[in-house]
Amino acid sequence: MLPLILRRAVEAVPTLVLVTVTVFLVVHVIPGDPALFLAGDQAREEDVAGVRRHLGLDRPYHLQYLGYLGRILRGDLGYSFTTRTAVADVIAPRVWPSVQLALAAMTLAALLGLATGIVAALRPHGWIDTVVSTVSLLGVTVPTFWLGLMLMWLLAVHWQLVPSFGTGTWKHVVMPAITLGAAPLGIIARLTRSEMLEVLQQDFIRTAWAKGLARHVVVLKHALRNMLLPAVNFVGMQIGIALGYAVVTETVFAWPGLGRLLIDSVTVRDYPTIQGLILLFAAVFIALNVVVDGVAMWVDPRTRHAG
Amino acid sequence: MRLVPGWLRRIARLHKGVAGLAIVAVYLLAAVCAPLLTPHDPVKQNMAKYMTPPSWAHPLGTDDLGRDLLARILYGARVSIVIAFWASTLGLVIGTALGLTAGYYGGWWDTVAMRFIDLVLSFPSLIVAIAIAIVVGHGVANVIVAVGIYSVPMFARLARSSTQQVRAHEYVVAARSLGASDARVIARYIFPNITASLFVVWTLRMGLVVLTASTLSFLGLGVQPPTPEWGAMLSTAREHLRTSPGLAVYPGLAILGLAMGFNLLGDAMRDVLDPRMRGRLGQQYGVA
Repeated sequence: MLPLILRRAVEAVPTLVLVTVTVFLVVHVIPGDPALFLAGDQAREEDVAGVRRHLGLDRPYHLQYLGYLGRILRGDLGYSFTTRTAVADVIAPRVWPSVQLALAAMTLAALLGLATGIVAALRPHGWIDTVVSTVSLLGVTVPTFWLGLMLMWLLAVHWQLVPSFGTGTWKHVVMPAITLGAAPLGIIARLTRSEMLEVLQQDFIRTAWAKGLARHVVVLKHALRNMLLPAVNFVGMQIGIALGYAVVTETVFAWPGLGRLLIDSVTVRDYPTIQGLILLFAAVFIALNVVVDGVAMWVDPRTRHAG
Repeated sequence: MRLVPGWLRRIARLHKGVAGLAIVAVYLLAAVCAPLLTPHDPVKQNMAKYMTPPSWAHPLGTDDLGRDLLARILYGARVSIVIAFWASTLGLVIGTALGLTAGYYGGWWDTVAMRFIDLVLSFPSLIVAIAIAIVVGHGVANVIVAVGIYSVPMFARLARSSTQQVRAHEYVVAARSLGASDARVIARYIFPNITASLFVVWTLRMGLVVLTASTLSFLGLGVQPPTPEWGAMLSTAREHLRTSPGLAVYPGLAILGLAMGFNLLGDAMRDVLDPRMRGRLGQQYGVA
């Protein structure tokens, strides 16, 4: 099994390299001369040229790219235009809040989504199924930022149950986690339901019923085990999508994470920070896919014993 | 030819089909007839009417620049529908061209095209939209480009896999052995057989485009004020949540309704036009 995961990880490397090329090229497409920006509007022509030389912007593109790649590998993401400190130092303190939020939201989405999806599949077209289907359709079509605003209005302003923004206690996490978790929750519930319905029609389930096994044994032992592999895959996919939507949730709740840093950096045109963040998002996303594949192999006994 | 095509009548027989058609029709009507439905200008400011509560003259009240909220929501339907239609179509055209040729010709072109798609898919989807929006800038046309490109991978993958399936059929093999040119095989045999599922995904995609475009505008990366756009309206409403929650409630309901309308309609179309897509695959294309 381990060699399979390693191979999967190695396969991700070319994609990562292509991502760095893309990010590098995109920065050269964005209008505006970084050297002029760093030197300031009042700078003399020689000073701008000096900054350009210092940044290596006067060298050919392929050399610039190789230099860029080398710096990334050493963890050097350049210097922020706004704080004038290393981008890595600007990004680092934002990582933990984002991880916290993502963990809370995805735990909520995965547990509730799987549970409601299974319950809905046990009695298709029953009232629970109808409620679950309706709520999951809402979860998918509600704009994330609006859900956040409505929660803020009801829970924080109207009933004053939780603080409307900031971090610190578990109460601060409640609204952002629900906001970010709603869409994945809806999708996970929908996919779980259809997957479960499919599994429940299999021959071995009929055999289990025929043997006279109790309902919870059939559902939780026989059916659920066979649900695990697809579940790992679609939950993993949802984590990836939620990674992007964290940008929205963090902006609504002034959550001091990576997503909000991205939007703040866009506002002040801090390109090195934007570039670093987008690279980080892509790297995390690719790594996540490798991990999901690894977990999927691990829960699938066929690959576990093959490797 | 009949006035109402058969598939449309079959859609209208499904509950979700009726609901979806009705919702989308109401929004289209609001977009087209906005000047008839409200006497107010959606852009002109009137500071004498700063955030007034709902009244006969202003059924939903006015915003922080004294503009009628209902007028802004009605005119906002124009912006959202235009973006939904064109961004989805842009994704459809580019994606189909890429996917169809990749699936038909295979070989190095298939590898290059799919490598490009994999590259786009190696970023979280919203990050792709945000990154393109940063590069192309603000405004309605720019949002269409950003959200359109972000929609390409989905259409490309679907067009490619459908093309590969159709291509293997005997009638295609027969046509080719009779000496039909590639262009003729694609136009006459492949394309007509992959349009149904593309059409379904195009409709479902419009729902997602409505959400994504308004998200970009909310983040300040899309349509800019004073253009009446629901997401941008919500961005200012956030600051007045304590005093005028209505400013945040109604534009959000407008987005939710339109997204849901396209989703229901697309779902019904899938059931009628392309029953094979039902189940896991279809849901994946609907929401991811």
